[in-house]
Amino acid sequence: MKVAAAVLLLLLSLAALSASWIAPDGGQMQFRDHINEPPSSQFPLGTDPLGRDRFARLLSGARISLLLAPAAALLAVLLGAVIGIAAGLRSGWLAHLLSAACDLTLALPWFFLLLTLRALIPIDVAPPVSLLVTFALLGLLGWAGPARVVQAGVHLTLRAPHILALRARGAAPLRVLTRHLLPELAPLLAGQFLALAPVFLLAEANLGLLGLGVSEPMASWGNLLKELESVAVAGPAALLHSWWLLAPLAGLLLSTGSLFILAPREVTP
Amino acid sequence: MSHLVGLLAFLLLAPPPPPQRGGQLHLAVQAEPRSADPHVAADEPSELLAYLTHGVLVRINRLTQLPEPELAQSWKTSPDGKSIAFIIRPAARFSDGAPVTSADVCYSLARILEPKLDSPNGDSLRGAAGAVRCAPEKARVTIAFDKPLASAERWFDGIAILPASGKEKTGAGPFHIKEWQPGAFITLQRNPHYWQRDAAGAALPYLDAVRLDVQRNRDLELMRFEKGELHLVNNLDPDSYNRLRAKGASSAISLGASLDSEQMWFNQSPAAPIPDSKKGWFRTTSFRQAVSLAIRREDLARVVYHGHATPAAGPISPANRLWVNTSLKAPTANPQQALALLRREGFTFSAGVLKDPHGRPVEFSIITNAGNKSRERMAAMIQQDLAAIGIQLRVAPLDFPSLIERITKTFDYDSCLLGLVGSDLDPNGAMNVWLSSAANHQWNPNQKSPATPWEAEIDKLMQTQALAMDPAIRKRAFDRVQAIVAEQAPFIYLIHRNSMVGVSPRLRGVQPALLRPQLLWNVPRLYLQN
Amino acid sequence: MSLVWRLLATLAAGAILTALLVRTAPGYGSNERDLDIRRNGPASSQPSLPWWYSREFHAPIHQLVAQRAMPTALAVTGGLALAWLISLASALASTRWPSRTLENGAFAGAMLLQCLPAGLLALLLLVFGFRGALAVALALALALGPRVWQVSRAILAHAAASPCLLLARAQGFGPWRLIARRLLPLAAPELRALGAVSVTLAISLAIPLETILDVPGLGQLAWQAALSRDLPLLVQLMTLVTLVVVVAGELARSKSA
Repeated sequence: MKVAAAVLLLLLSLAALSASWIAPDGGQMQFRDHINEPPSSQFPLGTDPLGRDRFARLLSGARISLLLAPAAALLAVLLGAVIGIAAGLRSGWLAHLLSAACDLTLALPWFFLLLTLRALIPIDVAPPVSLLVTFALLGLLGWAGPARVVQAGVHLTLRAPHILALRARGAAPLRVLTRHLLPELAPLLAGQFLALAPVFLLAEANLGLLGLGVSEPMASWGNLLKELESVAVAGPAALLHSWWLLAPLAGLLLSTGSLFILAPREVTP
Repeated sequence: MSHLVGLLAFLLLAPPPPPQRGGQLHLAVQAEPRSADPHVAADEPSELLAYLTHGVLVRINRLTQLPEPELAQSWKTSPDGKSIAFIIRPAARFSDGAPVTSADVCYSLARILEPKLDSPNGDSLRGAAGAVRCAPEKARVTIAFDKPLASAERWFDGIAILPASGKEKTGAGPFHIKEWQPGAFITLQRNPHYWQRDAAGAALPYLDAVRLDVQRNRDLELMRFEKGELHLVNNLDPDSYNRLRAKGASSAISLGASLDSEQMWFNQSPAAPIPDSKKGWFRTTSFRQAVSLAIRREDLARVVYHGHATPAAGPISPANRLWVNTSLKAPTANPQQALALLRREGFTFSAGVLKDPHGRPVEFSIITNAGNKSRERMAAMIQQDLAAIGIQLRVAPLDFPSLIERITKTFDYDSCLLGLVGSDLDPNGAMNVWLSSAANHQWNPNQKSPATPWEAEIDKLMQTQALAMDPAIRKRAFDRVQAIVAEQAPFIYLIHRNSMVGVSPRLRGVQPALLRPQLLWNVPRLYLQN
Repeated sequence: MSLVWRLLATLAAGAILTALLVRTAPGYGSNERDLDIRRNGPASSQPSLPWWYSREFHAPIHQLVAQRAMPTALAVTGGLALAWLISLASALASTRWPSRTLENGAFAGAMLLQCLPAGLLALLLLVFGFRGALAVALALALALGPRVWQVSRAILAHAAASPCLLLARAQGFGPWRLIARRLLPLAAPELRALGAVSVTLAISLAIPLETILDVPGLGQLAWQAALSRDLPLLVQLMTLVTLVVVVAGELARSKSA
């Protein structure tokens, strides 16, 4: 099961990486005499309302999602690890501060942070940069979950007999941290990473559905999914009739699914 | 042409009425009305609500675009244009049964002109007329202005008459508000004291009630219309119109070009925090003309609007029959000619890149409001059109408040793509766009003195048309304004989208018009057939 | 630091942060009315409204909240109840009648649902004709159910293996009596903690779901407040949300620690 998931993920990533060869223009070329066409040999997934190749857009969207979501997850886990370890090693006010900060991060309107940051980068900047910022922000805001888990992990590890013995013998705290604590926490961190990556994939899709994600004319799975909205109200028959619109959904399902399978079962985000 | 035939067929096929009384008209608005106060109404839902619940002295007939008596049974303007006298209709009543008096008129006028109320119509009248004096005498009311006012009666279509007792929710319109469930719906009930009667002498309106559902999602609105839950939809987008048509429904009607326009402009404000090189390009007339020539307007109309739009020649839509300058033609895309214009200014084009006389590659960004599908698509198409003459365009959709901040306060943008809703036919309504000193002179607002000779000429022409009483003089002056704007391209007009509506076959008496409220302007005479 | 003080400090920090974010967000103080061509000059600043008034809706905030609390309350409680009912029932069933196939089937189903963005779940419900608060409740149940199921299953399985349960089984407790008298009380603290987490998730999901499904509840209100930079309304709504989140978090800690 896990092997199959890993292979699938690898294939998806390869397809995404090959986007530069298959669709060098990132799916932005408009074929204005071929608008809203169903799949054909020239356009395997048809064209969108501006006559852009949906397949090319799907691939360039995949590149964005599959590269940036794991990067954001990595950032969140690293940040969470630092904060979680710091809070786990000390009890008292720092731990309280951490838990309060966690609650706040979960409750606050991060929507504004996205808008504010987007306003801070000049509009003249190349689209990929603003994209990078959006995902970096997702990563920065995602630290709360991993921090909590890491904090709990640190508490558990510190209470383990061999660590207690080490500390009793007066080993340097830094040595305990790097030689024993970090190796013990490594699987936990890896699990958190695998659990968070699909969450960020989904977050981009949700942002896209709300119209806050990657903006036109760039393609992402989120804004490709948004096209489903107008078909959706027409009912299931209309949706099945234009089945090729569901391709980004398939991509999303396959990649998040494989990541969930790879993640240890006990770790839930 | 086909839409005209469709409209005619619709009008002819509608059987002659034995109008039915009663029933509730059901429709949706895209946002909750911001205010029930008709004098501060500025958003479309509030204006619709004001139209349905309040009376005015004079109504512009939305179909003929001519003024008609409403609460005033007649009026007379003085030859110098400095005063107007109204005779109030004896049958005019508020929804609580109290008669509409000349004192109510003066009260309403004073209220709307009060700067603290911040009424858009009041602000506009104050600017055009200067001080306003109102003298009530029984059924007659005389209103005098400091400055002459051309077609003064038209201004009164925007001034709802409220009772002098200060009850702003009581109106003299065909309906009054019965229930307002915030965020969900508003129910309006028939005003039993409404003055108007039909040819047979029966009291209007025919309908008992109107229900406005707040429905933000337009796809859901369309679906409810298809199910028959809603009786009408306004401002259909091209996709929805085609969908209704594809189902063979005669209920979708296209009225041809609307009064609205879509345009882009370059930031020419000296206060703009953008590089001087860009400011230099944007202030060069040939540069703007070249960009205008590079854009394939016919593609925008065909692809983005599925053909339900007309390439724009100038600021005024052909739908504004009285004022459009018919000698202007929409430019046909011609990249070669565009490049020739640019070369004359010292720009060079090689290897697909346009460079300015200093060798800098020409790149700029365009902002538009995120979430507006048509505009995002137009921006993407303009990007490809400009790439053909070597210009790299970056598209930056922004959410609406951010965009407004940039174009009205910080001026931190290169170019902007936005639409203008045509609500007023008369050029006086757009004074604040054309005068160089005005705040809505988007490309370079609030100028102390006109920055260019052609802006100075526009200022003079606009003043001329505002003060002249002779319609021919006004028309000549405004035709020239349109010609200057088309030539200098401070606004690059792209398209006028078609006005498309959906009407349930059950709803009778509808006479779709381009002016808002397109389907409800004759609401007293609408009725539902079982 | 006493609980009350901690709560107040968190709330204050939340309110200040929200206010700071809104205040510095682009477009604060800009209004569509500035573009009204009938005006010469920007719309004059709002007549000074008290801080408990919404700038966008020109109404007291408590009134707005009261008017829109109903759909959200219905949707959140309904969605949570449904999510918990289904997931707890199936988690209990799998401890009562362990079956590999059922387990794997449920796992696959839960995973599929977790792979769908919540916004898309809402769209799919639209496809099948669901509307209003009911659709929000269903979307919530579909989004939360799998997570609740996965965690509660682990908690119950863990509890079922505890010595105290083995002892009870040896004492001859019937299967249902075993669940009611031993298993559930044993797992109760952790389940309660999970409950608190699911409340937090449900509330934060209500915003996008109500927006996409066009339901006039508190979530949609928050969304509109955000879009129109309505500082007082947003600060007060967010304080309310923070209050619920913090209280839920406190409950989870005090019961499970």
